[in-house]
Amino acid sequence: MSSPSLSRRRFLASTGAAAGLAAVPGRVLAAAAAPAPPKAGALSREMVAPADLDGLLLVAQAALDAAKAAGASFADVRVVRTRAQQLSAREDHISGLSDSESFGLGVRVIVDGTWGFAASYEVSPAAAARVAAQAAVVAKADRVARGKPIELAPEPVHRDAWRTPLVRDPFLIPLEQKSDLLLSINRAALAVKGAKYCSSYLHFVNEWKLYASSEGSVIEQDITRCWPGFEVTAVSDSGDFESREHDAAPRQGGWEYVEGLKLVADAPRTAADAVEKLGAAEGPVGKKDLILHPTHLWLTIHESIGHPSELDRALGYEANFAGTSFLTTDKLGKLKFGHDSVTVYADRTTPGGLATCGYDDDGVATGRWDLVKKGVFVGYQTTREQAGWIGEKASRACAYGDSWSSVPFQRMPNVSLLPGEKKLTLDDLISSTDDGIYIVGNGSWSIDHQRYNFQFGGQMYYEVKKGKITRPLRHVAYQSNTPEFWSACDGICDERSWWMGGTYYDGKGEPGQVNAVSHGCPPTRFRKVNVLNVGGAS
Amino acid sequence: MISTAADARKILTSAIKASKADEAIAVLTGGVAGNLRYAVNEVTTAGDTETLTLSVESAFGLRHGESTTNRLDAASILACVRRSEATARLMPEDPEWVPVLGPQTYARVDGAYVKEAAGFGAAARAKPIAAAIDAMKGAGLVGAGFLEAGESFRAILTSKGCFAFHRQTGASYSTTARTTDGKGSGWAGTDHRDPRALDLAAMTAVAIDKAKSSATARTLPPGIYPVILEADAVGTLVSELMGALGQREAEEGRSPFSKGKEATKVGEKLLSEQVSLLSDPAHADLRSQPFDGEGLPLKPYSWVEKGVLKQLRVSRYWAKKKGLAPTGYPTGLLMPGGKGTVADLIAGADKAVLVTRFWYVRYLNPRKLSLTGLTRDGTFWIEKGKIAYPVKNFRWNDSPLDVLSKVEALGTAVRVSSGYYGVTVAPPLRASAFNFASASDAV
Repeated sequence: MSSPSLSRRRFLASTGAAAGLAAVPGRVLAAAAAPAPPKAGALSREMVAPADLDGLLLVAQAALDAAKAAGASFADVRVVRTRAQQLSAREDHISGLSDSESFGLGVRVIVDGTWGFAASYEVSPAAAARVAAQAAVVAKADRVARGKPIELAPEPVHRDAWRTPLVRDPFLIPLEQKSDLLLSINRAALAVKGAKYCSSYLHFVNEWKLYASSEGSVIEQDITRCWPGFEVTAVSDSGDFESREHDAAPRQGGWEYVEGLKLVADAPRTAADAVEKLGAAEGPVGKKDLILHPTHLWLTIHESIGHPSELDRALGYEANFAGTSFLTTDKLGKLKFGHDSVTVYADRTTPGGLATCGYDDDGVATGRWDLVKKGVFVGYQTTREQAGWIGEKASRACAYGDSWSSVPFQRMPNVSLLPGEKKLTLDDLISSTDDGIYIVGNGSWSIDHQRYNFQFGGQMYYEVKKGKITRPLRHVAYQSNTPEFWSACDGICDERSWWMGGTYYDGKGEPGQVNAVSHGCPPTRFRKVNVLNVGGAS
Repeated sequence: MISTAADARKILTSAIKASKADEAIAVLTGGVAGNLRYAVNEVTTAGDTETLTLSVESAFGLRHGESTTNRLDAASILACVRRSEATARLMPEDPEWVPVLGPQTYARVDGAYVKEAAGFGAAARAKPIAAAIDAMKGAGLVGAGFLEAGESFRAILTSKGCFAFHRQTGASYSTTARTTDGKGSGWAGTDHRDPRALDLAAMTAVAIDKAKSSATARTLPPGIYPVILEADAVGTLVSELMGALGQREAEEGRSPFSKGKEATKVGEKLLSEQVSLLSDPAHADLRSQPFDGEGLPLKPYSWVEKGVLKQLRVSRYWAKKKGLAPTGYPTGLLMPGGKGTVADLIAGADKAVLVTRFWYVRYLNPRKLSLTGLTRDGTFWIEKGKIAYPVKNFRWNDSPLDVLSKVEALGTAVRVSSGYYGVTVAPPLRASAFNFASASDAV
């Protein structure tokens, strides 16, 4: 990759840091997060802004300058500050409260067509220069084991800022309000007869990052995620137990999302579900029609479509850990993956999606594209390095590093099932099912390393006979393989019941990294899927 | 880089001295680590990372709160202490809070830190990887792998004078070879405290051999078969078993080791005679951190001895409530083996499925410790003491309690990278039955 004229990116040194900043919209964010006196009940405001942006831009420039001096044809630097707050309650008490911040910088370089990376918790111009030089040392050492040179797909220079749209910053909500919420959930759940344990939690994460590249991009982003939840365990007189996890999804957003979930109001129903499971009939064995609620199906989408359409997996780049993929590049645009009604799209712009952002960690503007169109496999997830591997001109903006200390690589965007065009409701699906099981929530799941064979459980299972829900079941799992399963899809509800689940813990890579990602879908039916009973001796 | 107990103590003391809480515990962790990945027969990403993290937990009576930072200038340390105090004051009382520990005595662990390991930098990593790639190319295969080496430390100081420090080096290598048609795949991997002791060439050769010999896999119908599990797979099973050994969960009726309403199965023979499970930080095969996250000394424990459940894991809270001795959470786990290799286990088998490693292991039923997972990267049918032919992978549904109660023979225990504990040592084994529940087309 040829380096553009350095004068274009001397945005700091040529004009002085402060003056150069005027052109950087990211300034707006820092101003909004300016230090304010700590308030009683709130975490101190000084955690909100990692440091003054002027100083951090000088740090970034020092890294880029040192990388160039060491012979890098490309370099980028991320200064990242991640804050997390976790609050948990067990029955009648708060069992844990922690807040953390991690601040540091990571520098990537390409020297002689080979990547190098280095990172440190020290954030200063001197440390940035040292880290950048170390990244170049790594790249030069590894040249001996590199074949073809790394090439990056072109991307326009961006000077921009992006922030999670939110009304109330969860880190500024008083702790009393948070602990009250958790204890109220537990009280409401444990008031239900037979409910013995209740664990509830709130997990907030804020990622602030400054990205700067040798090509001249400067991007500031401020991303906030909320994950509330709870689990109730019911114990029978004989010591048998069953748990029910509430279906609340983690989302990008503010405290208003948590409040809108009405978790306290939901707690008795969730507890009653746990109790009901204890007395539920054992699940059947054999082929059944499955009606999968979005609180369940999102994870099946993640595992069976999200992962196999990662281009690095498909080409063998994750063979040693996460595995490869049955969606090899010769199948692109050809493989009939599922029923004609199945269209699955990737989207890093979906409001509230955990993987939504303005720019990825390659500095590429995010967007939306199809992975499966009318049942045919049509698209991969890519980064700047990968786009050229399949002859695409631009990256799909899927680069992400989960910390300042992690090297960015291809991670999953939000991947969602397009709702059906015709009006169709969950009730319609149930009333037109003769012999099936309706599954809600996520239980145990496991899928093989090429994403064929999978086995999924849920939270609640209901027998459906002759168009009606007849009784609850327990110990149900279904086992299928990906193309067979998606080909058996015969009813996708319309957009009115489209809902997005997700996780903070999509794992991939060595050393392992996590990725936060969401998946939306409406209730959907799959015909004649193999159902197991997993309650037996083993 | 912090590398001595004195340096760590200095930072921790500044935090504890600043504390205005009734009691406080400060933990400092850090290290330097370097890694190199390769795939498709060339290096992909590589890097060096230095980390340092301070965590402070403050308590006022039964109210406690924790704050973590990695900015270690005086002002940031003070701010971290104050944040933990501010949050602690706002918390309701936690009836399960146990006061921080006073001075403790720890087992001496020699050799956890190998001085020479520190010199294992980018150039030292690249050289053997270049050789591994050459071996893959020479065999006509597509190779991927990961090499990591570094050092780390953990230091703890409490307001009551408990100070603990442990420093260790570690390295791991794993590699996967695949045939160009995607029909064969082989894996090998191990870890060690000294990167110079990792035999990358030997591991690479094992992966190459497995890839070549697994390319013509036949379909074996799902069912219950005798099994030979290589050490990596056994490491997964014993880690799951260790995780389930909680005294509290057992007494509360929530575990496979519950007996009636409050009793446990301690003292009962649950597994085969050959199966023992122990943790001991000073053991020559483990050399693991001799204290847990609260600074509690980790003593030698036999969790399982000759198949008999001897001891469950007791937290400090549960110990106090029930008048038991706390065990803490082990930092190393050892299942002693017998003598001999996987080849010896094969030679002694009439019929069996040989499993290289497991993938995507998840609970099915925690009460029974039943799990589901898949086999991966080298699954073979054994007949009359020999590898007869490769077979396609399986999904399996089974429990470590069942497998480990049907053990026929053990091989020599080795350090594995599949463990969930700091250091896990496990042997390959042969068992009379394993439930292969469905076929997987994945290679």
